[in-house]
Amino acid sequence: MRRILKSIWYVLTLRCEEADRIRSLAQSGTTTRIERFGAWSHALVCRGCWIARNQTEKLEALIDDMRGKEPLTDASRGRGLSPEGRARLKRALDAAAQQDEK
Amino acid sequence: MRAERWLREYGDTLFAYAFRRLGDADEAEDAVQETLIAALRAADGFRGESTEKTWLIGILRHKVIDVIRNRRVTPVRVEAVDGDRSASFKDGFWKNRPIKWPALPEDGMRRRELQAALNRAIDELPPTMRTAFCLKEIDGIASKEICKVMSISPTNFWTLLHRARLRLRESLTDEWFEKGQD
Repeated sequence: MRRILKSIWYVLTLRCEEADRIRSLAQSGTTTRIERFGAWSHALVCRGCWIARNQTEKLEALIDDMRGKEPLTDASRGRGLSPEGRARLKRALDAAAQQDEK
Repeated sequence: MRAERWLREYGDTLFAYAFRRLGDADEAEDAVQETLIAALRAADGFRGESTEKTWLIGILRHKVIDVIRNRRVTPVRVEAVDGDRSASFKDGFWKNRPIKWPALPEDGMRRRELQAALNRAIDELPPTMRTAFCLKEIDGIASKEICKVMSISPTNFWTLLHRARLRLRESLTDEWFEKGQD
């Protein structure tokens, strides 16, 4: 009985920040059933959390698109190899190839 | 020479992959170098079941994990990575109520632009948070292994991932859904 009351109290007093954390980690296996129920029922009565839940679902869909795919190269933002780095790598590869030939 | 062609064709992509996870250009270059040398030595074993690029990235993934594992161990504290609390909340409640996102674009080009915005948002995450996020969410590495190589407790790891998602939602709201669509 005490456990049930404690669970009801948890659901009723859950705050947005904690509810958002639980929703965000729902797939991680680190949240309990009562926590997930609390976050779900909190979203029913809290407009901000309802919208956040919707955002989380859409973000998951976007992340799903990226999974297992090769990264985007954005050389314009300085994320490509520098000319010096490229030259250094070329030298290292030549040296490795020569070593292997011996 | 095969390795030179790999460097020419895939060098930037490999570097971008490593840099995003390591946050350090020298370490990223070293990881790419070790990858290409390892690939050169294992080239005869490449059976063409995937593209060359995918094969090289598979090797690089292991090299990146090795670099992270060999870093000097300093315990990761979420507060040190992301401040005491997220800026979105005050006393546990929303400081500013989130805005509703419209349906995600189905159209190829718009969707790709949105993916690019997400990529930029990922690049702007604090380095430790970005590493944890990329290894788990993009590369699909088991959380136990990530905690081990990053020397991070499971609680801190999951908190980092939650904070990362929260930041990504905020960035996409600001950069795409509020103003960046046109």
